[in-house]
Amino acid sequence: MQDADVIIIGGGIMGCSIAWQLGKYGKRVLVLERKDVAAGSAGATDGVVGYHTKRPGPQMDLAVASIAMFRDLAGELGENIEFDFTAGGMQPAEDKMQYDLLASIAEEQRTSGVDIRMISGDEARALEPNLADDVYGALYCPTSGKVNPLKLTNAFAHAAKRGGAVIQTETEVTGFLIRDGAVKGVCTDRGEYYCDTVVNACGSWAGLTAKMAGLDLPVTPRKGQLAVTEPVDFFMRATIQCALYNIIKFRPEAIRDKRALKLGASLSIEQTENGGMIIGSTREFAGFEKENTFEAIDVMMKRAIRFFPALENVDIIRFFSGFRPYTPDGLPMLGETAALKGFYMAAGHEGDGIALSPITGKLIAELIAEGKPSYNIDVFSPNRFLG
Amino acid sequence: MRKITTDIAIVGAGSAGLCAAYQARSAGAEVLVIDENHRPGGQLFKQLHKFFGSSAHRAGTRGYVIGRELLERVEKSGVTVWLDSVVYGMEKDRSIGVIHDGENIVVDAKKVIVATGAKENYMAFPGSTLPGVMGAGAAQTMVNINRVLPGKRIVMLGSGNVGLIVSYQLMQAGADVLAIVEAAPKIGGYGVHAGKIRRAGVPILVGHTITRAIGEKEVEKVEIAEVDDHFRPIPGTEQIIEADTICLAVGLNPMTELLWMAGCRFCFIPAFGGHVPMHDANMETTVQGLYVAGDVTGVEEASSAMEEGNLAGVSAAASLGLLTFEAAEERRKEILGRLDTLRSGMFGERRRTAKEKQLAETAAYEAGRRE
Repeated sequence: MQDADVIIIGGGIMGCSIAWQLGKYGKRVLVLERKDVAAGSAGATDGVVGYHTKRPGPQMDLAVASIAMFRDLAGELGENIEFDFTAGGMQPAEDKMQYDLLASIAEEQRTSGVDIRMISGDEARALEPNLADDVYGALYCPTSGKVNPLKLTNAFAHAAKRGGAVIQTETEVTGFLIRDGAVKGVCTDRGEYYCDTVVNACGSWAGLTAKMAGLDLPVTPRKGQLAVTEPVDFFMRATIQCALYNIIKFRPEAIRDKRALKLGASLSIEQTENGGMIIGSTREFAGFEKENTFEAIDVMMKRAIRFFPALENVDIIRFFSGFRPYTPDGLPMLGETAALKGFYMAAGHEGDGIALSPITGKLIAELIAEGKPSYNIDVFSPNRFLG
Repeated sequence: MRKITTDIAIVGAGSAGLCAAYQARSAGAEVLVIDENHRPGGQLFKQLHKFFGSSAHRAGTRGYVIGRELLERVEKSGVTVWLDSVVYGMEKDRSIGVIHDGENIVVDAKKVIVATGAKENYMAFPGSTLPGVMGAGAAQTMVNINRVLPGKRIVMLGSGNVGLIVSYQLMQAGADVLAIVEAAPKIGGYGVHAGKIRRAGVPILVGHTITRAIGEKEVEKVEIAEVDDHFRPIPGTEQIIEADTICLAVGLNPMTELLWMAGCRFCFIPAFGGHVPMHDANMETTVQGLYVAGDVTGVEEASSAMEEGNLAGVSAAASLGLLTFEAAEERRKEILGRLDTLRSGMFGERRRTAKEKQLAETAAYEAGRRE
């Protein structure tokens, strides 16, 4: 007896998005979640939904398709997800060198047909008046948005349940039932569940889950530390990352500051609907160690005040951290593994998971239900790591 | 980010922290006390009333006088005190992040004593977020420290000692206390305090609760009602009181955030205000070198806090080798004797039982860890 057509491991933003989409095909879906919905990275991040932070090439194309879905998402899900698609995304540069690096990255990004421009310091300050006087210039993407990732994940989960999915929390996967090179079920601390199709949507933990199935897939946690301020009056509209964000991501060799490089520290800041600001972030390899560190806090806060001097008088109410699922080539793993039939990967989006969650759900569901996604995702195949 | 080192860092310059600082400094330790407030002394400087208890615990002396004496003693002894300095975190290695004079400083101390005290409990009801609803402790700070009346017509919720004493002090400061509302069937605090309030003509309404605060932009009226045996309001018993301020005196809970960050083990003791850090007879937590003292270990009162501070200061100094084993033992014995007196009698027994449970749970945990 099959317990489900598809078992999804992980009740995060990917798992819930996939569960919702599979329901549209009438698939019986069981989501197994170790803790609770959005207990991992989806509940420990900011909500940038931007083009300008995406790697030029296939990842950018994926983002274009995903962000297009965001437009109607709240309506389709029937819940407020605090999505603001005209918030804009901006990356202020401190000097000409940073500006030129951003410009060269933007030029590559524009090949995907997105509106990413370079603007002057004055233009940047006209858009965001609280920006520091000495900002040299900025990258600006008027069509980038922001969302509340916690609300989005829960909205996916609610919609998935309405579509018939069962989301079983507090259930930890301990292994897999495998026969003749195909997955036949999932073992958990609450017993065994039988099915022929399993989706590994465990985010930063996806490497560990794959290992239980005998697959060596390089997804590792990368810690991002963040701070939350007290709610304040309107302060900023766009989501803002300092130029180092894209430079660390796409041109790390250009970074001179050793501490910034070690911590992967750059400014990322946005104001949420309730007025509080989320300030990040770092990209650190520290295993599953979740602590906030004085060193990272020092770097992040100084960077925040460097770009927004008025923040000096705003209180921080909380620090937290989350794990971003890192892959060696910076691209997610999407699709079935050749080594184990019926075992699908949907993980490894690093810092782009929130923005890429709608399209990931859609493509994985199409792949499982119809055998072929509406959009070629071969470049994201996990088999690239399974030689 | 500057890093500094010291022998002993103490977080909180209240009753417990100041006593710990004096003991540790007297033994020869280099001591740094950090407090986020503009002035040290914690809650002592708010306490205009005379203390109870034995002469060893300054019965008959007013709280602020005790505070002033503690402070003078600490200042003379050569302890460094940082005021207006916020401790924003503690890492697993017990290092402390402080914003001092606008600078981010990491304090790496050989021993750390956390004496952060307690914070007021909150109670939610319709209208409880309106301006004019505040903790009784906040109202006490306003009248006794800042000399500002929080309101003219006040309803106090809770008849424990805090509710009774603050009501009296609000009246002394010129406010009208219209009623003290208490959900329990009898008054929570000492009879002598309640007697004073009643003689002043303030009704203490036991078996009642606040059901609603009414007002456009601030509290204008308060709705109260009788409660049944399960503390549920009984429909039809509502009364309206014209008041501009509601003070909540519904208990305290320990301020344990730093201890959670440092990875201390906790136990749950309702009589102490909820989750409290495990600690041994020397006030050391399950994190080596991290000590606690005062209300952060479980809500009691100022005299116990001072004695726990003494104990933590002596223990931390002894563990640095600054006191001989014999000298430390002798002092500890004296302090424990005084603590024993404080935790006896009609009101002290409950706290004694709670403290014994806390120590027993710690011992059980440590025994399990050694196995």
